[in-house]
Amino acid sequence: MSNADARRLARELAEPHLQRLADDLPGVRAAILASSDGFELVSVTVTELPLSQLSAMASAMQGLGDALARETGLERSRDIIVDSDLGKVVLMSIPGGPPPLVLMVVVTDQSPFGQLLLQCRNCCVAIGNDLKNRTSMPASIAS
Amino acid sequence: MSSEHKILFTGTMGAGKTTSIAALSEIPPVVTEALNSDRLAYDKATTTVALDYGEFTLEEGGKIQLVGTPGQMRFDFMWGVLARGALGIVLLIDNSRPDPLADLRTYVGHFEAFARNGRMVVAVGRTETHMRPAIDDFGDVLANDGILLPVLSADVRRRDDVLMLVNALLSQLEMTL
Repeated sequence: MSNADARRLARELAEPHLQRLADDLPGVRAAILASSDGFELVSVTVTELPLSQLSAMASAMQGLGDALARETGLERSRDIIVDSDLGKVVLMSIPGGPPPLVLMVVVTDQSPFGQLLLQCRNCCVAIGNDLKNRTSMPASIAS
Repeated sequence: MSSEHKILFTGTMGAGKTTSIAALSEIPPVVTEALNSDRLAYDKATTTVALDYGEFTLEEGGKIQLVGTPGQMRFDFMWGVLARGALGIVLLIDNSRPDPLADLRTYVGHFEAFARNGRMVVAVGRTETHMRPAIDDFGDVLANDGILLPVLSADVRRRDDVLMLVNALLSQLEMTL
């Protein structure tokens, strides 16, 4: 499978899950699936945001989280939550890789925290399962 | 020099930032490597997405934090974050890239305050296999912009070469601070 095909597959598989998340969860501004090296693969947005830049930031944060967890003997980082004045940003690793992917969800303070975490995690698991089922996905996913 | 200071290693992807820090650090470096999914742009298995970190003790006893930036422009938001409080910068240029002089201009432009204050050393790598541009050409580009910095050829896989770069930067700083 070529890089372009793999990218299309990730987009095709993940987009319905991102859309469902945006539809079901109150206050979603954006849901982005990015490669671990910072490329936007697919996104669903309610508000205009700089998606390429956010994808790079998601991978950098995930990289820092992994390093922090490793250095403190906590193994791999799974989630990072940025709790800010007007909302939250959640970063979650998609389980079951490769390829390593990260989900970034930006929400306003309309989103209840427990529901946010639960639905983001469900979304990650669903994407991970779909990718696993359609496997033979190469590590390289960007064209 | 006393206490703790930070030196930033920056440059394009594949220029040797992670390698430099690993060569000189006295602790196992902290790395933030991710699989490189853009093999067309650069055929390298992994890439730094946030930072590299190592430590080095000077003979006089001061500790130097060695901090590496991600190389790609899409991570340039990290450059400013990591440069905060840095004593100086080692700019690594990969002479095998299509336009190393343009790379020099890009990074010097981004870290202009460091360059204009003499808080930067430029290290040109892969000069054994790629002799052009010559070291003098890099100096000329800087001079045309009114900037005077040490420009050195270095193989950052060698600890002695990285040490030379750090010493060159520290010597440069002694003159400017």
